[in-house]
Amino acid sequence: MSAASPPVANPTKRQKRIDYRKADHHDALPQKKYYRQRAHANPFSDHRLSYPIRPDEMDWSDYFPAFFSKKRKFDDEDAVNDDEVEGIQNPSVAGVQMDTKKVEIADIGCGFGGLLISLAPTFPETLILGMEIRTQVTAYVHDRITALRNQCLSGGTKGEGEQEGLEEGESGESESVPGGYQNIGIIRANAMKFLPNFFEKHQLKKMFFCFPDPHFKARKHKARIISPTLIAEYAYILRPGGIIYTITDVENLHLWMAKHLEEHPMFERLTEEEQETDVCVKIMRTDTEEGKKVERNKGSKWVACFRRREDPV
Amino acid sequence: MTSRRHPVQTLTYAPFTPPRLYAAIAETLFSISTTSHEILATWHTPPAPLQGKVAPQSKNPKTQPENEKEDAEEVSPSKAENEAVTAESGDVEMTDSTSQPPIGKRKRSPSNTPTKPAPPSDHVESKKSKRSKKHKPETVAAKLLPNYIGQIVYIPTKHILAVTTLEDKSLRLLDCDSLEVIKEWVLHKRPSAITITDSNSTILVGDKFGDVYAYSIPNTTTTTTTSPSQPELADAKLLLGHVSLLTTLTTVTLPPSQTRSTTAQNANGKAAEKQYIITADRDEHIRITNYPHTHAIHTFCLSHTQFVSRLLITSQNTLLSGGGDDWLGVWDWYSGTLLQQVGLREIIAGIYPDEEERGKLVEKMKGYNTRRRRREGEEEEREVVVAVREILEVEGGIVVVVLEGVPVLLRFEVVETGRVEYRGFTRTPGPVLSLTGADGGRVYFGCDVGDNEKGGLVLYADMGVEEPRVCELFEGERKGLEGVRVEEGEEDAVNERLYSVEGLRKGFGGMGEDE
Repeated sequence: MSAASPPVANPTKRQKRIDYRKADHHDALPQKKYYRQRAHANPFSDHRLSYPIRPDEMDWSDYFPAFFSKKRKFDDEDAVNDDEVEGIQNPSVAGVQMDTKKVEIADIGCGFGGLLISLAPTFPETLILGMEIRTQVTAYVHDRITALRNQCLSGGTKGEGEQEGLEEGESGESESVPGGYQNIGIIRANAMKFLPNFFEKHQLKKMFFCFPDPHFKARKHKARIISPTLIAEYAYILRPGGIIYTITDVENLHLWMAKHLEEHPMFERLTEEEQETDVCVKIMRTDTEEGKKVERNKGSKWVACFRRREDPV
Repeated sequence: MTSRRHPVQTLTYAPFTPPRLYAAIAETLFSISTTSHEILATWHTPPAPLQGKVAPQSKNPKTQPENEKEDAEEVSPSKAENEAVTAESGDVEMTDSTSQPPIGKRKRSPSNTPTKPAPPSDHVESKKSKRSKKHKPETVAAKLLPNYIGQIVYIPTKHILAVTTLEDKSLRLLDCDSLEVIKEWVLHKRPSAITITDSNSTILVGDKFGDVYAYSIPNTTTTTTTSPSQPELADAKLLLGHVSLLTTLTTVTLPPSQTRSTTAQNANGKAAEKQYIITADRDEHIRITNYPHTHAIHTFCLSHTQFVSRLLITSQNTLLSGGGDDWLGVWDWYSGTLLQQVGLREIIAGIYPDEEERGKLVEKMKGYNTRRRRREGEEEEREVVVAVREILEVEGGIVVVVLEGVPVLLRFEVVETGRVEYRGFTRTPGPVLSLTGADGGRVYFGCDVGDNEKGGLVLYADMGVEEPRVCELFEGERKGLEGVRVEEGEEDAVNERLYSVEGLRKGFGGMGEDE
């Protein structure tokens, strides 16, 4: 899947999508039907990705304009967001010192962004980044965040039902949302290859892996986001005590993820009690798009959480 | 184009008395005395695996190129016999499959020994069938791809060589004298990098899928072992992995004096040495991982903007890296900081001040990769494209660097701070394809001299002196090792195998391009 849209079978559909995306929606939430894309992307492909050479080269101002001033060392050629973001003119949250914060929570493969939006008011002081490899989906989440931010800035008065594609419980309460959704961001990235380009050693305190691609075939197991070799990389960017959250509706995948994390010397599993009292686990169960879908289909959801141990001596 | 002989693609020096060189030309390994220049032994890789439909002539020994067989007879009388065995034993599993429908890709065939027929192939088959891939169209007529020798590592204390082969994806241990196979392992994926560690008792192999496996060398490797153990996957230990093609790896030890934290002391209160594996990939990463505790990544060395293809730990314990960027990096690998960028573009401009000459070189380099030619339409190559092929340190802190397709040896010196300084260049008769360091600051190397009969030319130069002179190893009648003749029409395929470094660059069809 390339950044440029692949030829679409139905040209009118494509044109509609382009028109929709060009139009200014300000605080109207985006509609998913204009952001459809096949469900999988090959993590081994090169794609046309933008990523910083190293974490200190990253310009976060495109993603968290309330917390970072423009750096422009790193040009984001994807520019899904450039013009719109600049229109906002640094809506700095009162009392925030620019360029001091770092991303501390990452949602790997965040999909349509349900978890991010739920986490935003739960951790208003923490920067939360969603990473997603599919361009259309990334654009959707970006537009969704922009709309939510705009709603908060303008007092968020749009009544429920006035907007198409409105997500449950998102609009009525938006004026009082702590953090005003300024603390969440979305980036198109291949997290399996480039996490160390975005995050320093020990930078993160939480990582989420919600309903990842199951890659059922044995020879595809290396493409799984939780794999014996990738866990070492997650341990590198997580700080000691940091937590990996996993949830899936595929029991086999759950067993695989739990097995490999359990076997890894850098992680220990959270007890049942710890897991059930963690607010993130509740959000992960109920507020991700996939979680809702599984709920509707009355499927099971498997959760496993792991704490990163101290570094070996 | 007239005929051309295949150049030496891999060279390894072994400091015996008298010293020996191990040279690989396509599928043949030669053991050469550096003093008498005699060929002491040869070894052929077993036939390459089959892909797609099995060709009817596969039982015929002609599956090996005809001319190679002739060469074999010229080189050593015993080898023709070897080869017959090779062909036969390799064909065991192919013989009756002609009438059957295609059964997918078969990855390897058993290795040969002169004395014993190869092990029955059944178990190999069953192991492989599980992993058979379908990405190659099965309708493609069977073609025996040459089973190229990849990397050769000399293991000093054990008197053996570790040799990887690319098409059957195997690692073999060979006796240094007879070149008999002592042990062999089937690898998970095509090997791309190899090194030894743990005082010569462990081989680390990196593959095209980004994983690094450890293979421990058995202790009982005596030359009297006649039959190789059954090829096995079982005793490979997965140490670490990148989600990218693993290009190279090396190991490094932090001396006790440099162990900066008190936590690195062992129970006796003595400072312990700490070991690390350094790996590099096609996605610009250099990773430092603890060893043997490979679950803990120590740090990354990030600054490259193109693939990284070569790493070297200098005598000053700094890390030198090179790849698709037009500079070499000098790193304090422990902290992951880049100490120095050594510009290569200026050096090339200095060697080829004449624009026309530079243009000729660019044209020639384009010819090495068909995909490169195809790319022309978009963005024509005008300047020499830098792709670091070899980085090597020899006595006296002299670092020799080879750039793919550029017929020179670049000479640098490691100074006390661990930084490197450019000291000049030495022209070679053709692009350098293989390089190995010997005692006394000497390097041996294989050159691609193009359309002539010299073929597997082996040269040497003493890099410790101000102006190193390039000499041919073989003088008089025999000008080079007589490698396989590269037939017309095979040129592109051979070139792509020999000039593979630039192919790592993104944007022209490396591993998994965007649709």
